[in-house]
Amino acid sequence: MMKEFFQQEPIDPRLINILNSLKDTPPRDPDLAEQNKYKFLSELENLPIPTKRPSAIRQFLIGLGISADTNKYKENNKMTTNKKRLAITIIAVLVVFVIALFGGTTATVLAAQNSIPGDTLYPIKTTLERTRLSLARSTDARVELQLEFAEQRLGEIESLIKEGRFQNIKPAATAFEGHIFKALEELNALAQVNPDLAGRLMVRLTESISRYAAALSDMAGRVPEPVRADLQNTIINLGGGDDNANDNANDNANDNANDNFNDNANDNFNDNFNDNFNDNFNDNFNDNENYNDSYDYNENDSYDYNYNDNDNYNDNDNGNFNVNGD
Amino acid sequence: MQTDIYVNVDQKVLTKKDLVEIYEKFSPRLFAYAFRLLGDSQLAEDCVSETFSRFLKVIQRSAAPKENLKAYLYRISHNWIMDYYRKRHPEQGEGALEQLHSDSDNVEGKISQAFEQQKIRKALLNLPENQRQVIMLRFYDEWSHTETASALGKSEEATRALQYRALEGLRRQLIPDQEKGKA
Repeated sequence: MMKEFFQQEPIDPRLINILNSLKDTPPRDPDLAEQNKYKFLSELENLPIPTKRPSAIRQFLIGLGISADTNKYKENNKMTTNKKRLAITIIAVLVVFVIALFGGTTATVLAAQNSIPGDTLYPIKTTLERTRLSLARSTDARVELQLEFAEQRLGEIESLIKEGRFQNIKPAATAFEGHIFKALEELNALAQVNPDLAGRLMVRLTESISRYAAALSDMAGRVPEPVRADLQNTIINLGGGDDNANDNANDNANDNANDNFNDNANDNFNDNFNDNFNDNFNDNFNDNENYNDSYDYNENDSYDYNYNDNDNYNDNDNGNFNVNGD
Repeated sequence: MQTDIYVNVDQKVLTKKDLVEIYEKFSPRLFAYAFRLLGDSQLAEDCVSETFSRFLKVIQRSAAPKENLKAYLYRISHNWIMDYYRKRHPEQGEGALEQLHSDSDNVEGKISQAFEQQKIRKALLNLPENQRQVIMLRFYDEWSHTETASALGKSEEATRALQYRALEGLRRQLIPDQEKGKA
């Protein structure tokens, strides 16, 4: 675009050679890199943000300022009662609308309650669950709900096995793990403020989890191979949850990490540096006096993305350069 | 504009999965970036670790950058490195020599390479802040002018000007006067 203003100016090839010797960096020490990654994942795990991308419905709720997730961004915490009320009204309207669509009786809601993953009415069931969660005031109520929903998922897996709909088992198992994980997160948070209550709930949760593990291993014996591996994975993840939430959290984090591992680090290395580097050198710096060449980054903790351009360093000597030497 | 940022940070909710992706994608590059300026693997790892730690704190405060995440991460790293040099004497960071011990063959060559690298590092550190940034991003990390300009909050022309002056500054430091005429 501005090309015509810049006369092409070759860089001294000796300079390129010299600079290139800093281009290659040594490989990372695998232990240090692994340690760093572990540190990152544990810090990440303690962040109060969702593990996975929320469903469309959840995103909609978040957009309204209400999230069924117990872990929210701060800004979502600032939701007003009015917004919450509005959201609930909208959900109620939606539910009524869906009921009308499917025949308009309480039978529909009941049918939804009995639906299993893959059924048309199943989304109604999960939406209702999320609504109940968002309305739950206390931590113990939310833990109770998570356990109730976890049991629902187990019941659904059982039904799916009976109906031979194995392809829907994995999502149900994932959802099951999600409920357990969230219950543990709730307890983790509660332990900071009310360790006694958290301890009592933890005992209950642990009992439930061992019951669930037994039920799951029974189910795993009755499904074909790939699905069996999924269920066994879920059991393993539950095992991590027995001790404390963080163990479970780290397991999950590592799973994610492995899933997403990619080796893009080098994909930008190419040797066409000269192609995009040589072109368009500006040799007519008529405005050099106006450049402030030195500035400090903003030093405060907020990293607010602004440079401080205020140091009055003036790089006035450019006019004196003669690129082609004497 | 930032063609190689495949992580979609426009989402209202940046999930843990996204953040792990961001880590996997950028930690090797930030390591290389930090190593070039620090000349020491351990320090470079510290820099990467601290960069992501600070980044997560920012995310936690809901202050996640909505755009140009890449520039944001590099900026945190750069701040860390500059802090490091400010706190300690710039002559430190001779660690490049430490990288040699494992390679027994051609030690002489390696040592001279390490000294060469240290010379470049010093020359880079002598540059004004944003000239150094332009070289680090444009030359070593192969960012486009557009990306670099947007990361520095400058126009493309200003970035080109900075690049020109940075290269001149480096040439003055790295190529002795008497050799200039010979080319």
